[in-house]
Amino acid sequence: MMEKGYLALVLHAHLPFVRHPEFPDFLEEDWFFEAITETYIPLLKTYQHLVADGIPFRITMSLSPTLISMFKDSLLQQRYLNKIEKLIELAEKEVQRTKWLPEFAETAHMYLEHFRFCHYFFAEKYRCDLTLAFKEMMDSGCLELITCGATHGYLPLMLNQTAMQAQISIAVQLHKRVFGRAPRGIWLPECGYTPGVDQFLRSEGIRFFFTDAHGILHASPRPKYGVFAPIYCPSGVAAFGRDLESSKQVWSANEGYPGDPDYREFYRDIGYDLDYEYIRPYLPSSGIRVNTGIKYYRITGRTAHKEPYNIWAAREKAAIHAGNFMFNREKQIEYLASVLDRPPIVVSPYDAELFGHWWFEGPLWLDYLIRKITYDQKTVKLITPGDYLEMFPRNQVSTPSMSSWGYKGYNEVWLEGSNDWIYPHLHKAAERMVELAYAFPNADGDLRRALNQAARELLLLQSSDWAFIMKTGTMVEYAVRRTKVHIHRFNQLYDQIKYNRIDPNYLSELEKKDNIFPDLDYAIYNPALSAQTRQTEVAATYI
Amino acid sequence: MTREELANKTKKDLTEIAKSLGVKGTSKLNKEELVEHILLLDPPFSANPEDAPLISHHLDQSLNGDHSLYRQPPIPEHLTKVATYGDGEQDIPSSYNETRITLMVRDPYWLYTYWDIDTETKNKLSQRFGGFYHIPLCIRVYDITDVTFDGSNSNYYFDVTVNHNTNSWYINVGKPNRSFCVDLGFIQPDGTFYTIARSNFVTTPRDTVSDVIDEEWMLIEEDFKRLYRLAGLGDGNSSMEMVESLIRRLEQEMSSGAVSSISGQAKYEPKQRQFWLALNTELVIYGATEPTAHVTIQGEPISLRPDGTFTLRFALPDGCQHIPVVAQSADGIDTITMTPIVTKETK
Repeated sequence: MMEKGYLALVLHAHLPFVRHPEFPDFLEEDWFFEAITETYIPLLKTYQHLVADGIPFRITMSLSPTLISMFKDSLLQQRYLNKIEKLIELAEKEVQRTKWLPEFAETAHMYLEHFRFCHYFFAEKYRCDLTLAFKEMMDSGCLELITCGATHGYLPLMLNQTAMQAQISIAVQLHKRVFGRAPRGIWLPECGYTPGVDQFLRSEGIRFFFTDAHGILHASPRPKYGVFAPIYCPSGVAAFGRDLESSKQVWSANEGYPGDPDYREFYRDIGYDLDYEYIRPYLPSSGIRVNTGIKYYRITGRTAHKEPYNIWAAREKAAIHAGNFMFNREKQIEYLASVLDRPPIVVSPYDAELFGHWWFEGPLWLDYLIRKITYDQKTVKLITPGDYLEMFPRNQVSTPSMSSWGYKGYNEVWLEGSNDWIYPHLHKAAERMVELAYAFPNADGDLRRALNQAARELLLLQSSDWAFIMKTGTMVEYAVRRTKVHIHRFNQLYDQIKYNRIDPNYLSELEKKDNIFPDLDYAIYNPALSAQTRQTEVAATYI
Repeated sequence: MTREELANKTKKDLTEIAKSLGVKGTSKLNKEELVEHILLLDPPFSANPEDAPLISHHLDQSLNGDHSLYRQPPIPEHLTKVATYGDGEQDIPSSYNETRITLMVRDPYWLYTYWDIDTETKNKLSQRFGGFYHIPLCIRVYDITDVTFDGSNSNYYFDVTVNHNTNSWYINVGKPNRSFCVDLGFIQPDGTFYTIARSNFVTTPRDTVSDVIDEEWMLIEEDFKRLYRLAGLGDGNSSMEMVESLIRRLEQEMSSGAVSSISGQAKYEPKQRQFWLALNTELVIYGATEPTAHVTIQGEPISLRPDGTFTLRFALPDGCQHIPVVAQSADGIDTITMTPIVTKETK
């Protein structure tokens, strides 16, 4: 073994399930479309280039089941195609328009080229289903795909054990179906852990998860290696702690790389900057100005005046930052290895959407980083947590402390003045779902469909994104509406089922709108049934 | 192999490839179906995915030509015609009419509780104590750490008075790593506590390192402090420092908008000045010729609309622009050149 320690890069990719067939276009669906163009395709392209160049590397990515469901949805696929075609058209006009402005022309060409590539990649290479591209990278051996909560439900505040189990169980089933193998690990939604969650992971055959640094540091008994080695929960599931030093270098707006003056400025978009009549065809039908994704300026500094973006200077800076990150990890791991009596692992998790969407040069930085780590040093090796556990199966047993990666490190982001009103409804809906599943164990026909749909409404209601958006204060109205609508729909179905008044029209309406998890079986909410089947599955996994 | 490469192969070759990939029943498939099956099992993966000719060929086909090639069939109308949110769709119950109190943990120091009282209980209490809204409701908070709670054996308890206008409360317990339970009730005139509902049990998280040390996995105190520091949590292992450091870190994250990815929409506001003006100049060149003609502007070919008209738009920098527009008839015999000269200066 040449290396002195390991670096696990973990990218968490998630977006809430936003899909509105009832409108011709819908502003919030753009989150998904922007992320495809700016994050998912650039990351996949980065991985593919590395594989094509024969560079061995390991990286971990969680794909949330809501995101996977959107990748698989034909309506959203079609809408993305429309979107990217409009963008290509706009970029073509931009290349023309900036012809006499050499400081912008090159950037305009870059966008046109990228959008054209996206269209090719999405439509031609992967026939509109990007999960195929992720699977391909998984099969190539460079990507370890892990799962997340079914709808990114925040587990520490869920209380209902059956509902918590269902979040995990549905996620694992979907992952198996889409990627053909069970996930070894999970990214707990918002990194939210509370003791007991690991039991649910164990019963789904999951081997590891992550907590924020203090989740491990405050574990009991005291963990000998801090966050630089995993611990086993009493259930046998391993917990890895986030390393704050490496996180800060990438996350922080002030000290971190993404704030560099040479990098692209996110907040200067032609959707806001250009002549209204010109840009109007590329704005939502309501006509409000929004981001188009075409941005010509660099961060420049803390001023309103922005200088034109220079793609070559930005590339250069991304390479320098990759070198700096690698150097810091080398020093960190050399030091840790001298203090500890085993090779340390440094776990650096990030939101995938940081790369490319917020930090435009992020995928490029990752590309340089992986190349440099491969060729320029011998101290650090990239690893996935699953591989680490296979190399180092003996670890301390300790229970992590309740924690999350939200503001202040606990539950406050999702439980405060703006969003605490949701919990009576969330808890009641979960309890009612269990009640229904228990009362109607072998339903068929409309009753079965209604029970399955009730489970979908509950799951969509549980997305942590709604509470988060209410707290952060942008797009609040949408989050409130989604929450109320799912509460309403769930309770409608509950009454219809309980009092034997199922309205088939209403039901098929909901099936069309909230069509996530088409194969869902509500029996998962029957505590008697689900415990039984799980045991057999676990036996199959472990024996 | 890419779609193009496959399309150039014979059906026999395609059948061979499909068989080698494990496709069953290849004899029944036609050429297009074979290509689809092969692509599905063996996605194209060229060494240089940016292969420009491939991309442009693909775009020629899909943007200008046959749209059906890459598109799913249109979704049948009966599926897309879905009603928009009705007004009633956002109605939610204000109460589930049941007597219950629920306790949740916010952080090491704070709990949150919400409750509801059903009509029957309200009536009963009302009859017995003369008007429900006269009852001075309170929350009794029990510390039940390490005990099997039976209602009377808590380590200690305290009361929080709540009014009838609310049905939730944040409780400052200030005690990390302790277990709690609350009762909703009131103190009767004789001083005894009347319990209306009892909550679930919760435990606050630890806010510092554990005192429990596993002999097999021991590290001397000094080394552990060093590790803690290395983990980026400040100098000591006191929780205040840790929390402060977390707050600093997270404030930075929040201000970068990066924590939960993509939700924020940009609001572009040129800041720092009370009053401001942004001014740009663009030049529109438009015209018309025979629809079949070839037109170049500044030497570069442009495309005409089906009726022979064209429009081009340029951002106009300061200086002088010569803009030769050349139209040539389809047979190449007639050529017309017109050259507007535009000078722009900003004073």
